[in-house]
Amino acid sequence: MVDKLRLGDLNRLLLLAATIAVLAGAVWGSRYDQRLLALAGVYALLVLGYQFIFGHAGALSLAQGSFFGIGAYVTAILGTQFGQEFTVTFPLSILVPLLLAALVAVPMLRLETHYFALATLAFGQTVLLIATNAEGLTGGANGLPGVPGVVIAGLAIGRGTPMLAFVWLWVAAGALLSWQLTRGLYGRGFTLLRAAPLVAATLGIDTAGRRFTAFVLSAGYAGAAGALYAHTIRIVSPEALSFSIMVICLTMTVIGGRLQVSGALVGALLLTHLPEWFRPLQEYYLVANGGVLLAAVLFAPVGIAGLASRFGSRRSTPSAPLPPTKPVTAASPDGARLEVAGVGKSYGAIIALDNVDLSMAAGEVVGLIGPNGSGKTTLANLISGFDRPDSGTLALDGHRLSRLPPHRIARLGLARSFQTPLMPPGLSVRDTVALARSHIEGASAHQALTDISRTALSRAQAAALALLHRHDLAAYSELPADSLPHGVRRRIDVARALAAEPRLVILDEPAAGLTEAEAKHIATLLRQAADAGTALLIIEHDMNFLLPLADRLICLDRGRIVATGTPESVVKRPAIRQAYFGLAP
Amino acid sequence: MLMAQLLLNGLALGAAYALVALGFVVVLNTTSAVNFAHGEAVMVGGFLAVALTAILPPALTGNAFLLLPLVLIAMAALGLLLSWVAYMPLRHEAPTSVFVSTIAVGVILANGVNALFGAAPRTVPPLLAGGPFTLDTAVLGTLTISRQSVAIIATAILLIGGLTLLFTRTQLGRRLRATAQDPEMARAIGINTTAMIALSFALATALAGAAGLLLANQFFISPSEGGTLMLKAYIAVVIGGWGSLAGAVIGAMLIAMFEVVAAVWVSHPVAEGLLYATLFAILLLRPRGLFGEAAGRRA
Amino acid sequence: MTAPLLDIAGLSVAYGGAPAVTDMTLTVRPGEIVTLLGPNGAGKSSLLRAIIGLIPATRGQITFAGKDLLALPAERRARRGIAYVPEGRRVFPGLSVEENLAVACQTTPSRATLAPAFAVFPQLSEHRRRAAWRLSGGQQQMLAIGRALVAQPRLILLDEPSLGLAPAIADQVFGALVEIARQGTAILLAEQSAARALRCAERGYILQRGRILVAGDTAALHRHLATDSALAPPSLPSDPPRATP
Repeated sequence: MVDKLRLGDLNRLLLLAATIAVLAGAVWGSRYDQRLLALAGVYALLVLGYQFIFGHAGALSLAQGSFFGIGAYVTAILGTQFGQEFTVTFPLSILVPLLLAALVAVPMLRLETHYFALATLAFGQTVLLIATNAEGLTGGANGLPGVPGVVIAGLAIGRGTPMLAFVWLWVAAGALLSWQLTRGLYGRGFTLLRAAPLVAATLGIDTAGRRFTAFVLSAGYAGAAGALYAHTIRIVSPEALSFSIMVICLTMTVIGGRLQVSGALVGALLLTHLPEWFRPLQEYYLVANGGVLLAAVLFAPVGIAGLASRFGSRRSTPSAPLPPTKPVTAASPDGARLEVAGVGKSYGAIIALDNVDLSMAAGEVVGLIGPNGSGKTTLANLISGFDRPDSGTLALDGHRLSRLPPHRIARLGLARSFQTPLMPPGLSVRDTVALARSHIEGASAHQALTDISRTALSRAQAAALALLHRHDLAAYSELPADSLPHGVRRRIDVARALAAEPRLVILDEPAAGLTEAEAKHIATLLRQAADAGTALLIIEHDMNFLLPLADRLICLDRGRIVATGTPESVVKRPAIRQAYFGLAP
Repeated sequence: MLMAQLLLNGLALGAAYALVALGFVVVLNTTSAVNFAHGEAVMVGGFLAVALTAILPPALTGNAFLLLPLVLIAMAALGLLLSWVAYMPLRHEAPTSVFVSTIAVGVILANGVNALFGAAPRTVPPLLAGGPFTLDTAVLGTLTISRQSVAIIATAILLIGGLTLLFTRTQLGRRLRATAQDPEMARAIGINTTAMIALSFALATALAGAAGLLLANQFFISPSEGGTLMLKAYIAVVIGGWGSLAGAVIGAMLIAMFEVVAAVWVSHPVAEGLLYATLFAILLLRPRGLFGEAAGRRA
Repeated sequence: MTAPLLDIAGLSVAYGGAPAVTDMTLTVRPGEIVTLLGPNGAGKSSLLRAIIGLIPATRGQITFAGKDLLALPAERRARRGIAYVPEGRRVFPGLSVEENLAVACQTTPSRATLAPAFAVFPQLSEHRRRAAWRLSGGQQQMLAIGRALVAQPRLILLDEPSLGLAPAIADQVFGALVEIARQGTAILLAEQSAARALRCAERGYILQRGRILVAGDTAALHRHLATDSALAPPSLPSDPPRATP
């Protein structure tokens, strides 16, 4: 439950079953069986790719079928019209969709959920339109018959068993690549990216970059699947680009499982064979097919492999714990200087911030107070890059912030916690905190590829555990973070903000919902961080918490700074006493 | 004058698409669920009218106005069944599960109708046949106005107005929207969310039935039509802004105008290509659609 | 003494498989403010969620105005006169301020029925037509409390109402609660910040690990909070643990 990406025992069984089915088909199956199994392999590869963008990145792309068709057309055109061999056509069948995906990704990935889905759908329809109408190149509606079989350096792969084995060899390679990419710290980052992209960005995870990688990878897999499809059925027509391929791919993914390699294989094998089993029902066989689909998604909404990991995953134990690359201190020794000058921001008619200046030195603790709606959180959002100021400048250690995306600002040393602590579902407290170490321990896609023993994950987990001990949260480390009470989640959020050795931390109401005892504990930890050099900007209403902690207090009202000074001097000012505390001036 | 005729034809087609999109938006606004079986429900509505015409005496069925209530009731029942089978069991699961369950229902409906009626396109009687109206079309100068077009446009206007009032002005409408936005909290303030969801599916599917009945007369209907209609409705809803009723109507008009007007000057594929290009342009400039300002989140 | 409005006996609740509330017995009378204190994870939120019906009870009884509540779904409990203000605000993001309030009315909403919310939070009336997600966190908290007020409930369940509110506003909220209680509405108030809660409550319970540790009037609760070491700050490790185990 805690660790869904790990292949549980039951998923191993699923993998084994899929392997046996394919092997049995290769040895005993008829020509027809073998062709069907080869097609299942083609779809398995398609689904493995789709899992990157749809499963891991959580974006509903409806272009996967189109990349598949493009791959098939590249192989067919080069094979029939230019007489090229597999060694040329296959790499190009992968490369063309991959590059196309990279090209369209830039404008498309900005879009959210359904807008993204529609853009990918429109892309697919456009490709289909071109394929149907560019008759000289694609054969129009009739398509291109006579696609040659696979020939590598003069050696032809025959129909039947050899082609079946060849297709599934590629499936195995694709599966291995996908598994290695997603089982470590990099893979776990996707859980956070799906559930709370804003939080992921504040932890230095490049959400846009990851979505790009997932989209391009999925297109590459689709291209490979399309090429093998062309070689298997030997004719490519607009059918290969039709929306029905996309629907098949989506159903296989949902029914097999969105995240697990075994899910891709089981989903593809099951759904290619399902219509065959209902042939005796004649004209009603497609109705029965729909009925089974419905039943499958009702009984296993997380997919067969998803269900298997729910029941089958073992208690996740970190492999041999490794020390983190850098020792876990509460903070990095050099704090950062923050310079905010003349910043203004309005939303429609409402002026959220008006000409705000603020500078903070390393190791300084600044409390930010003010009535509700006075612009405190807006200021935090501008500094962390979620929003752009209308005017003025923001700089961290001389780096201009106003054009940087949140994850780049995070990597400059900024961390923050949120008013409502967001914990991704299905991750343990330990892994939730460990993800904050992503950019320190190295969790990029290419690092994930070569990190065979998952050292990045072990190191990040070790760092997280040490931090959880310090924050008195060790008892929770194995529990799913999203199921914990509000106050505990808030303490985890603060621990997470400190996990990446930040140089400036913005905390949005860190003591809200905590008991006095818990708040005191957090205050002590924050003081330690500040003494070590970290600058802290704390938004808080709880004066018992803030006054002893802050070196300086700033009060905002209707977007303007109305008071600044030592805590004692600010809270004594008559205007502040009246407007903010509701006391007699 | 050609332009005016084209605009009129486009308006009628757009009104038909808008009728399809409306039911889709109703479910969207109550459940946040994307009901991919909605296009098939429109198709089923058309075939239900075909079937009723075949069994009932001609005196009853010559005029679609008499068929309409029967279709609405039967389709509302189908909507209840749809919510009970394809939505309720999955209401706490990821939204994509509902995509797939409704896709499955769509497969069942399309292939079921295909097996029962065959793949050939069918047509049903028009609204307002016979009676004082003896002509099927009126000629105004060089402008030909078909009575069915007028009926479709009028019905669309009526329903759009009614739904807008329902969602923005009534307590029921607010309850429906609250159910979509936070079902647990909706229950905690006394809203029977199960009833709201069932109601919205019944309403949406009845709307689909009305759309099917109207479309089947003007444009024919075949079992494979559902997917195409769904695609049009989906595009309309997205460019209009996810969840916005007015936006969906304008989106539907835009698509229909493109199909009717652009096809006169350029070939059909080029017109379709242009539609997608426009779609891209809209999304690039307005990433949340023309009228989209759906609920966002503060950080 | 009046008969209790809310009567809970031997209640147990499980949350996420683990027991969250064990064998709890407590009462709330009409017009009374009763506070629930205790550290995080003590079971305060789970208790409130079980009363409104968002999580099921595993055993025990909840009686409200003489009627058994456990047999009813959440929406029927709300319609019997229980309002719930959850932690984390939970306003309907796409509805405007006015719509958020109107949808919570048990009778036909009108200017008059919404008035109590605007009377307590004048700031909200400046934003009547604004979508709730555009409000600041504190304003959303006001809206969530306002939503409970317009339902004219007999009992209000409040989970951390002062969370995210500026001190002046928080005091205003607690002042309003006292006023509402004086008019006969009962209030069950879960709070971390004991000081404020104890100022307006008459009596309360201190919860720990899902059980009632202390029940009594505010003086008794004060005495207990001053002495109990379990509620005192956890000790800090003087020497931070090493990263290597």
